[in-house]
Amino acid sequence: MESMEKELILVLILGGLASLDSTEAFQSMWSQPLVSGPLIGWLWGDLKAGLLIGVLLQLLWLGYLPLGVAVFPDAGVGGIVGATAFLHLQDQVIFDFYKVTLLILLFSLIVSYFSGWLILKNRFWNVKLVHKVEKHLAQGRHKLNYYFCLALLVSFSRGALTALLGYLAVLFITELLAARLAVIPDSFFDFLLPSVYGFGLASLFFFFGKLKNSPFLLGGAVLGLVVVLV
Amino acid sequence: MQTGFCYERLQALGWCWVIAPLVKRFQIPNPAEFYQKNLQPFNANPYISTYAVGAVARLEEEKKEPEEIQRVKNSLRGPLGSLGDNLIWKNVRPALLVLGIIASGWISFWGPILFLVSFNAFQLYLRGRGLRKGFQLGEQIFVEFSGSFWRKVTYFFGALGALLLGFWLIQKGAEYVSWNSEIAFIFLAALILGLVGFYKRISAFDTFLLCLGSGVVIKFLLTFI
Repeated sequence: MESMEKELILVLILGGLASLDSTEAFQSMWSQPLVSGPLIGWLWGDLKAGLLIGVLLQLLWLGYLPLGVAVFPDAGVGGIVGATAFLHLQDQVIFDFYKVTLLILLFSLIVSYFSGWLILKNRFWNVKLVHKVEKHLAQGRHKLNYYFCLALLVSFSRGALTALLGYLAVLFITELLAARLAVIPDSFFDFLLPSVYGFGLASLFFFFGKLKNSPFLLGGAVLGLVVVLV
Repeated sequence: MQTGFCYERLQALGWCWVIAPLVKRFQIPNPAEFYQKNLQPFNANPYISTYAVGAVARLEEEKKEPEEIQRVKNSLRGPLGSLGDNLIWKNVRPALLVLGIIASGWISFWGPILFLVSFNAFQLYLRGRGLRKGFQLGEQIFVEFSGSFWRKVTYFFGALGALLLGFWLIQKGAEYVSWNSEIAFIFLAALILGLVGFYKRISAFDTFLLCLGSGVVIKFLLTFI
């Protein structure tokens, strides 16, 4: 992408929309990194790189369950931040793939937890909206659409600003640490992909590693073996 | 439905917005009073909340007492929460994500599109079914939740997820073995530590650090010792 301004606008808009898709509206799952990564890559002019980082980011959030009051990582905003940062840094003259990707994954995960924490704060703030609606209803007026749109706007803004700040922070910290780590060859960090895939696969066992699923698990393994051997 | 979610009234604001068309449809004389009644706490998995919407629409059409409608709404919270969360978050979403990820290795960006299309086809079907069944059954909606549909669908996606997981595990294992034994060992260590982390209910972030840390340690030991 040619200019920083365009990147920032992209992060703002997609971050806001991803925030809506994750929680408040749509929930169509386009905000999952598996989809948003290639989407950003396509907008950036490098679909393949977008797909690569999208898959890696998705592995971080395969196992999360957005239930209850616990802070859950916001995969939508984290994915937008991670994918955009990766594509930005990839355009740099010196790009140590493993080192930079490791840092991006780590800090995108941190941004996603921060965004998840903000979602909880937003939910506590939403009580005020509901009380305002109730107050108007008691007076015989309903401004439902107004407060509904306000809730959407607040969520969009929260996601957009978090994505923007997260993007700038991830870029700054990654560039700083990557420079510090320059003495260590990039090949040392080639443990990244197997570690991330190991983590992602392990998280799936949480859902599908039950005894009743074992025939299918074994069947899939046999099928995998056949494909590998053939 | 989730818009304006708060911990006091949960999905109440979103619920009011969703049922707003009923005001015009049933020519409710006092909309402010109607919304005030419906601003009570409500929570359901958003993908199957339409069962409640359909049921309440039917009860409003039959001009049932507000207390009865509220009772049915409250009783639906449990089933719609647990069934939906178990189906969507624990089975459908992870199974279709794995399908998309595996497919992306073969058909590139069509993999994510496959995930997006299949997930949304299913979730839209579920929402439409919920609205239809809810309106059809009204206060008998609870019969629907003991039916075989939920068991079969959950079983299907659980089986699909397990099949894809087994397939992917072997694929990735074989890929890393073909690279070199060091990488294969790192993958195995991360997998085992990840399993330990998730089954011991260690936080996902800490488990991820554990997996990465094992990679660093193994790499260090094999490089410098």
